[in-house]
Amino acid sequence: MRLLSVLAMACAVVLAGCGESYDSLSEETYPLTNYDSTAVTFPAAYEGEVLLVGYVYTQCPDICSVITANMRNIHDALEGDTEGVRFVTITFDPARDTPAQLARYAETFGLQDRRWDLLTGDADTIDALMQRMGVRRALAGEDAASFDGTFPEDEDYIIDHTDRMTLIDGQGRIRDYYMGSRMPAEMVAEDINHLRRERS
Amino acid sequence: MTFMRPLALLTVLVLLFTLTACADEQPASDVPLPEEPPVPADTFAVVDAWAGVASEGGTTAGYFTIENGLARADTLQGVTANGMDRIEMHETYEREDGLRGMRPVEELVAPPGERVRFAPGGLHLMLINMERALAVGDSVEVTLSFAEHGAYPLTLPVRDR
Repeated sequence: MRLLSVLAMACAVVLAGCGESYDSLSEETYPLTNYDSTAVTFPAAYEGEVLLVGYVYTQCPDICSVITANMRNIHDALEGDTEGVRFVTITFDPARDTPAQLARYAETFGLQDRRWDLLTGDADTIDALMQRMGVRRALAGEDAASFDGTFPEDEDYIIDHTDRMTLIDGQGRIRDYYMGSRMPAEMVAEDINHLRRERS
Repeated sequence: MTFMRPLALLTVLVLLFTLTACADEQPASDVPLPEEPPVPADTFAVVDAWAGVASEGGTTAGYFTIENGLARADTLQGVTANGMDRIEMHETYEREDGLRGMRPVEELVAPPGERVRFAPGGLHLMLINMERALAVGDSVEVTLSFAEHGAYPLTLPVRDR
């Protein structure tokens, strides 16, 4: 009996430990700009909402488009019920992705009227935010460790990058990471609904 | 001791199960593709062509499948098109450090009896700085250049992704 008690306690400790230690962004402030040129303080502007965040650059024709399309599929999987949920795309190429460029991207992919923001910012803020969110970048074929957030001025460059989405709860806590281009939409929608149920 | 061993084993198994239950969810693996029919014999064709939507001045991708049902290989050596700054062959790949990278492809062999797919997340045409926006219903004309077959005109209907 004593061994069974020890076993039960060990399991309880393990389960408690793996369920409560969320990485929180709530004390952090990143001043960004939305595609309609309004100022957005990330993540405070979304307090109380479940956030699904994707990271792209708009000159990327292939994998970033797949990430955005996958996020749109997740949005569709919510079947029109997006109350308390916000979709956020953050560029990691602020030199080229101005608010006007992000507006064109939103129109091209049909992201308007979907509770979906597309954010850019100054290079230092974007660099700090990408590091914080674990999104690594490098000029094509170059070492990510040596990348300092500065891009060439000729505006003709390719960025290698992490393929990622982040799920953040209404308290600004990071609840999950996904592979942005490949995570099945229904599974992420289920996680979003789980977090919404947690709020109520 | 002989009594303790099964209990110790049980303890380890239950702990392992518990740890597994709370581990982060991993991305699902690829759904296996249905078995596809063999490449039609004695034919050479480029099929399933399409391009993604694009904004004016934006960059998008084009995709297609080469079906080489002939007895010898051909090589895709390049592509040309109007209506954009330039068009290139590229490949998205996973780097050793885990980043998703993109690199140019100079030429590509289509082996005999095989399909070569240009598909999202892999090989693709890169249509750079479009002169006009591309929406569903539009199309893009390109010309593929093969070593054996020469110029191969191809229409890429624009699809929503």
